[in-house]
Parts: sequence; structure tokens; C-alpha cells
Amino acid sequence: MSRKYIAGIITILIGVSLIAPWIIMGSAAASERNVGSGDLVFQGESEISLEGNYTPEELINIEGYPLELPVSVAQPMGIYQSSDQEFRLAVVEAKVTDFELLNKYGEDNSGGVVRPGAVVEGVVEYNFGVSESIEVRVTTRRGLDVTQQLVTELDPENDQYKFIIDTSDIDPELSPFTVTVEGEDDLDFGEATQSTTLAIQNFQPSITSDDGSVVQGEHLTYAISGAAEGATVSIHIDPDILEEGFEGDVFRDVGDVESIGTSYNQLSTLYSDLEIDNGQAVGQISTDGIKPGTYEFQVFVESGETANGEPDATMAFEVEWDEPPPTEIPPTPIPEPESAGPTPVPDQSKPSGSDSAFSGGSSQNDDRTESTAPTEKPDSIDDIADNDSNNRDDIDPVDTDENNPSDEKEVETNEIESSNDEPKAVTEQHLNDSSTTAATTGEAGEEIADEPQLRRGFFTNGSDASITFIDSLSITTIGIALSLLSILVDLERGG
Amino acid sequence: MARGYPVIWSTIIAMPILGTGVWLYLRLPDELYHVPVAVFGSFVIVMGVYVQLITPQEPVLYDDEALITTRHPSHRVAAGMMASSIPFLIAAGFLLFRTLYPYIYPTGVFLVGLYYFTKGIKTYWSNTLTRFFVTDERVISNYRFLSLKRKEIPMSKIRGIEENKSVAETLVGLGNVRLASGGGGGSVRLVIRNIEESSTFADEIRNLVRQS
Repeated sequence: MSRKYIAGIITILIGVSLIAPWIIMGSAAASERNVGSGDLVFQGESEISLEGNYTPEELINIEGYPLELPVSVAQPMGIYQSSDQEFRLAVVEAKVTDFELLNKYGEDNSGGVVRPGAVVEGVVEYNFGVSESIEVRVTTRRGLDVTQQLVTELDPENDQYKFIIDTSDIDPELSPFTVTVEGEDDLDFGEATQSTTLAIQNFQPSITSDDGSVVQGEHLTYAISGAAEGATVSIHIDPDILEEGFEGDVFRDVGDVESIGTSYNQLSTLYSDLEIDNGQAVGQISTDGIKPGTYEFQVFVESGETANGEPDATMAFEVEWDEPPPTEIPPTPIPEPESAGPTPVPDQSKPSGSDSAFSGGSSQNDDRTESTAPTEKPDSIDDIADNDSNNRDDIDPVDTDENNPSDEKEVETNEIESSNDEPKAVTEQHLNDSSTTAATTGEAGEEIADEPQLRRGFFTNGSDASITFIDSLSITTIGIALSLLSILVDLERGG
Repeated sequence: MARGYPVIWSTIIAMPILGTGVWLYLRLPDELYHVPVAVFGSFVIVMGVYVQLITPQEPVLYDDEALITTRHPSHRVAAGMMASSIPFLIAAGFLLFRTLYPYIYPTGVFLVGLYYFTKGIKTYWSNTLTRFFVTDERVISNYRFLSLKRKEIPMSKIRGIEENKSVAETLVGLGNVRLASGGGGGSVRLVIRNIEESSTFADEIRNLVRQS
């Protein structure tokens, strides 16, 4: 009984082995593409057959060159048609027309870097979908094929092939990977194949700026890098840095900025969302309404997700005092005295005007501008200081900055005309300290100037202008001395 | 006495400089800008007095020698140079006191103005101290500041007469005449610079050379 079963099984196996080649051949024959009139065939394509009774030799191009099957790589491109013009087909070059590796933001990461665990979608567009599909091959930097570990194929669409590269289970040390797409059968040469690279790296976002310090009113440009292409990064600033009552925008809607606004998630912050483009996102802030000081940008990759957590990157920046534009102190009208005759000398213990109010900053030494109209020019800065000490009780200090002591003083006098055309001297005290303001009051406490004073330097102005008029004086003196010397020498030499 | 009134002109020229020094002293008493400016103004006055007192010596003529003409360089070039310095000096003062530009700008502009002014005033004094004498036998150049410099070329030795006028000199009607006693290193050359009617002067020399 068992012998009969064994003999039957052997007979079946023999029968299968005999018909298997025919089954396989039949399958292969079925994979041959049957090309009809109006179809495309591709250079290098082998497994095609012609519909109808036409033979390849009957199809010739305009130069009389016949079609050969299988189509060779050197087959001239063009239209091949039968002599009766009833059957025609075109020979074209197989091409991968587009190949992108898209990250989760939909941005092309071809040749780029992704973080470990990133999922990348490959999208291939090609023109030979009617002939064969796409084969994807991923190799390590040493040529090891890791396609099976990384690639998951998706359902191909018409002339578009998609696949997924999941880097979760791959050692980043093996990167960069070379991703190659090509025709899965014959069409794996020339334009029908394309490659790109993809590296896996655990990179850290960073923010940089060319100007770590700007003058109030200028724009500060920053750049954020180290985030995935197309990623949204959010940059935050504490709103407490704004001047009182400032209602403008700090973040400017320029560069790669997508949106700006104020976030009220627990702590309110000013934010700007930017998109990484070509490896970085560039934005700008306006410092018009930012109080002078040193502050910090906080960068969060992917807006909102980590807004209350630790920032991915920070950068300090400094806003300095705005330099006042070159201005002249306007002539200050002096109230005409009721009585005729010489202008009375005002009581120097008080500013002119009953309601006179001083505004403006004071330095650590509380040096302050003399705003009254004394009839005599002070002999020295000490005179002003004396007057100032007399006036101090009537002065409301504003914006005292104890970190910026004033140490240089410059006294100027301006002749001004009073209402009865009698000149009076008004002194203005320029404190060469960028953090100090000076004020001059005119009629009845009217404030006519309240500006931060400028530290005028030799090469530049500003708080870092350490070289002052002394250098100008030195050069002037040297220039004049050389002039005198050259005059004497030239005259003695005979002109 | 020197030609003209250099003491008066120098004093007139120095007045704005001294005035600027006084103004600087009143406006910026704690700074020392007024010192070099005042020194420079004083120098101009002193030099004017000195140039006024320096007398270019008349050449001693031979018994049978006749003085034909006396020439001196024009002051137009010097005046032009000094005039060209005025815009720079005004601009320097404006930049220094009416703007808040860094000091290098007013200083640089001032030095440019100072350069032109120095060249102008030096040319003025130099021309004042220079005089050319033409006799029937010689051409004499006489210059004296501290030391005396006198050159002369006998008419019979003049081998070359060269005239030239630059564009600027043509516009202001001046020219230069160069006289040379011959080639080689031993020749004497006289440059009669910035004179009016230089062509007429050159013709006079040519005639005298022919007659000699």
C-alpha cells in the first residue's frame, strides 16, 4: 500500500518537474510586453513583441533604419512605422525624470542629513512605467546592500514610484547611504538610473547672528541652522524687554519667517515661526521698541511642541542706546521780564519757571544738565555742578543708570536771544556717557530736549568710542606744526 | 622793502585764524583746539612782518649796464590756493561743531584745507621774496628768506628759452619762462615762474640775446 503511495508521489514529482519549465516559460512569455501601434518602446528594452502580423524589419524610421528586437541601446530614437503606415511606434530613451527623498515636512532631503529614526519617503518619477517598474537599492558607504533593512515599497502609481526609508533600525555609523533607483529589469543604465545620498546624524540646532550687538532702532538679523530641511523652528523673546507702551512688532516678517505673534501658553512670549530653507532659516528683529540691555533668543524646533520646555538653542544679543541724530538745540525763548531795564539775574537756586521740571537720566554721580538761563557763562564744569547741586531739590531724576557713571564732561554755551533781544547764555552739559540723558527746559518748565547724549569717538560714535577729541586735537596740532615747518623749510630752500 | 604790503595782507589773512582761535577758546575753553590755531595765526602775522622787513637786494650793476625791466611772480596762484582752502576749513568747522560725526571727518577735512592754505601762504611769501631783474647784459633772479639766493645768466650765455603755461596758468594769464645757459651739468638754469605776459617777457629776452 505504502509502495503505491510512494510510487504515486514520485510520479507526480516527475510530472511536475517535466511541466515546470513550460510553466516558467509560459510565465516569461506572459511578461513580454505586447506593443501595439502608437506605443512607446525604450532603448535597451528586450522583452517586447509586436501586435498583429508585423515584424520588426517592417518598421523603419525616417532614415530607413529598421527596428530591431530586442531594442538595442543604440537603436536610434524616433518614429518607426510600417510601409502601409498602419502601424507605428516610437523608440525613446528611458529616463528617471525626478527622484526626491522627502522628509516628514515634505522637503527634499536628497544629499542631506536626517536625524536617527527619521522616516524618509522616496518618490521616483519616470517615463518607462509601461515597460517595467523601479528597483530601489540602498548601500552603505562601504557598498553593503541594506535595502531590505531600510526600504519598504509602496504601491506604484502610473509613472510614479514611492518607497519608504525608515532609519529606526539602522546604525548611523553606516551612513551616508547611497540610494539608487533604476529600472528593475533591462532599463538600468543611462538616464534610467539615478542615485543620491542620505546621511544619518544627530545634529543640534543653533542660532547665530553677525551682529551680537545693535543700536536701538537697528535691525538684528539671525540665522537658525541645524534643523531638518523644511522644519518649522520657533524663536521666542520675553516681552518684558519692550519699552513701556511699545505696541509694534519686534519680529519682522521677512526672510524665512512664516508667522509672528504673541504666545500666551502659561508665560507670554513673543515668537516668530520660521521654516528651514536650504539648511537654515533667516529672520530679523526690529529693536525700535526694545529697551537697551542684553537679552536672549530661545529657539524651539517644531513650533509649539516644546514651547514650555528647554529651548533647543539660545543666543544672547545686546541692544544699545540709540544715538541721537545731529540736532541743534533750538533757541529757547526766555520769558520777558515785566520790568524794563537789564535782565535780572535769576535765582540760581531754582530753575526758571515756577513749575520747572527736569527730566532725563542721571548718572551715578547724578550729574545733570543746567537748564536755566544764567546771565553769566560758567567758568568751569564745577560751576555747573554747583548750580546743579542747588537745583537738585527741584529735580525729578528719571531713568537713573548706576552702571554707567559719567566721567567726561563737555560744556558748551549757546547764545540765545531772549524775547527782549538781550542775549543770554544757556549752558548745556554734554555728558559723554551713552546712558545719560540731558534736558534743557525753557518756558515754565517746558522740556525742550531730553535725549541720551552721545559719546563721540574719533572713528565711530557710540558706547565703545573710547578715542575722543584728544586724538583730533593731536592730529590738528601735528598738522599745523608740520605746516609751519614746511613753510619755513620751503621758504629757506627758495620757495 | 619787500614788494607790496605782506605785513598787511598776512595780518588780514591771519585775522580769521586768530578769530577762530578766540572763538574756540570761548566755546570749548577746556579743550585745547584754540592753542594750535592761535599759534598758527600768530605765525602768519609774524611771518608777514618778517617778509615785509626783508629787502631783496638790488643787483649791483656795471657802469655801462642798464636795468631794462623788473619782474616778479604774480600772487594769483597763491590767492587761488588759499581761496580753495576756505571751503574745506568751513566744512571742517561745520562738521566739528554742527554735527556729531566722528572726529576723524572734521579732522580729515581740516587737514585738506590746511594743506591748501599752507601751500597758498607759502607761495605768497615766496613770490613776495622773489624778484627778477633784466639788464642789457644779464638776467638775475634774486631771492632771500634767511639766506640769499641769487642766480644770473649773461645774455651772451643764454642758449635756450622755454615757455610753458599750464591750463590753469593760461586761464589766469600767467606763464613760466625757463632760461638755460647751455647743456650739461655746468649750465645755469633760471625759472621765471608765474609771471604775467610771459610771452612778451620771453620775446624781450630773445631780442636782448640777439643784440648781445
